[in-house]
Amino acid sequence: MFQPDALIEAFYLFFTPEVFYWLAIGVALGVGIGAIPGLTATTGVALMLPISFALPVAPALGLLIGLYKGAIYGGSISAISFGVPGTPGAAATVYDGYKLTQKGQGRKALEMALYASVTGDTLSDIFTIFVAPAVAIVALAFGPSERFWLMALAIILIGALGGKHLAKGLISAAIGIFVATIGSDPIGGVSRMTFGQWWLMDGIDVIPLMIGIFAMPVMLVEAAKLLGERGIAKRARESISETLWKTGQGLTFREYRRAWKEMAIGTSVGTFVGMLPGLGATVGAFLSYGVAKQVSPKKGIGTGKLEGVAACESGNNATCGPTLIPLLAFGIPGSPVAALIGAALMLQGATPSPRMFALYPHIVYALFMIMLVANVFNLGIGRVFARLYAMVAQIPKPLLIPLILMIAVIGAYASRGNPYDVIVLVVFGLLGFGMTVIEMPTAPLIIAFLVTPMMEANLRRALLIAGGGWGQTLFGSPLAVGLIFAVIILVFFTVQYLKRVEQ
Amino acid sequence: MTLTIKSFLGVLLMVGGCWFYFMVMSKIGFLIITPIFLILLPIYALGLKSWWKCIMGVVVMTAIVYAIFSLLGLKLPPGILSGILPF
Repeated sequence: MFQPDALIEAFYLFFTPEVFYWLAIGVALGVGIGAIPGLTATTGVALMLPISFALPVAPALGLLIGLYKGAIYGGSISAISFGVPGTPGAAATVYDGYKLTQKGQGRKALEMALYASVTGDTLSDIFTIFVAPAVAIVALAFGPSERFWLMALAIILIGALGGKHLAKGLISAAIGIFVATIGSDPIGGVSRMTFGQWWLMDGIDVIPLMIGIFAMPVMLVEAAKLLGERGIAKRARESISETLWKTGQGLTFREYRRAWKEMAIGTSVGTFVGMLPGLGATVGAFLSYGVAKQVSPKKGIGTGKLEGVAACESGNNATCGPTLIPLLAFGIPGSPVAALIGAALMLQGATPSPRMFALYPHIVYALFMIMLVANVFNLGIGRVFARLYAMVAQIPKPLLIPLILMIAVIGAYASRGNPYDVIVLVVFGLLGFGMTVIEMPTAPLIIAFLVTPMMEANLRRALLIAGGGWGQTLFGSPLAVGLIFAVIILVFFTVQYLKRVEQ
Repeated sequence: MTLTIKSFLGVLLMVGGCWFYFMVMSKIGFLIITPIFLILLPIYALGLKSWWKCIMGVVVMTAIVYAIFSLLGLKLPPGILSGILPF
């Protein structure tokens, strides 16, 4: 499976000044986006999608991967500095991190968070580099019919695990499938679901859709919160604790080494969680925190211990690399950020599919190099500018919201210069806002949107192979039947689990 | 989350504002309407108190966004300034 020629080509793609400075810009932006409460990695990557479209493939990946990794780490800066998680993934870091700041050990906590993030991230990236090609070999053994069922399985899994409610997740996925079928039929060329609108014949463009679903609703929700609470209670301004930098001492190597067990737990739990579709950094961090607390109860994790910070931060950053495994091996994104990176690859002409490793090995190898080097940039930028980012995180919300909305509008418009893309943005922005209000997850919509064209192509191909017989197409091979059972069992257990959680 | 009538109307105003911003932008240009949009929305709709922070942020961000998009060759509507701008 390893292709030396492609590796050499990947070196050419990777070792250019553009890749390095876009990587630095990505990480620098990402840490800031992560540090600002309310902005997440997903929002940041969605907003940068139009810019990545204008770049060559390697710098584009550098920008997006750097931003993603930076944002996952950046969330810990505000979690530790003022007890407000910058991203949902850093919510678990507040328990120990903020207590350390109150004790006057904020600087130690920030450095522990950075080192644990980079350690967890690097180890999980190495795991990804070895495992993704192996999984891709398995994917090649699948025929069109099995691929169809695998994609159906992925959509159902993401719908089921995406939110608190199975039905809401599946409705969200169904909307995604519907939106993906707008446009021309891939085989017959007939217009579908266009309502007679000529501009819908090409289908919905991925950039305004992504920005509309992932960036706009987040800002609208923040605006609604701001308008709802004004006049009732004046919010206390978060301020950087005086003790954070003045008296705090840096982390020693001994303290870093003492947390090796927690980092190992965080890395392995995060890696496992990251690989599964539908879960993400938040689950990775909370699960690592819980496991670390149970494994060593004597350490007093939760009372302001560096080990607690290490477990959470290695846990959330360890999901970054493995979340790309389903995307690279099967072409199925398992998380919103993987969907965005998949969309960026698609815009660059390298559509993720089960044959990704066979068709574009040089891009995949360059992606691996970018992932590893992004960690070095994360370490450097996080180490030098952490204090600056704690100040950036205090940007007033009334200023931030219009700024992000402005970037969303011009990003949706400028990628193709098509005014209808702004209509798509506004419509999906409102839809995403409505979904957020009724607590319907938006990730299944986007993932179903990206997977559906592939799923449909595989179904059509399987039908052609079977001469039009639906029974033969869908239930023809033992593997396909096995996957169907997997779908049924999975839905059953999810329903049971959700019922138990509700009680 | 719970939504009050006031915050819901506020959200509709934001979305309408985005659409209005885009429509005006295609007529008179990105560089003129963006600072106006970014100053009016925070101060009138979202209740920002400090003017100087707003104006400083707006001018810097408009310039940065315009520079990045232009350097990458992504066209933003020049509007009535077309012909005067370097990009």
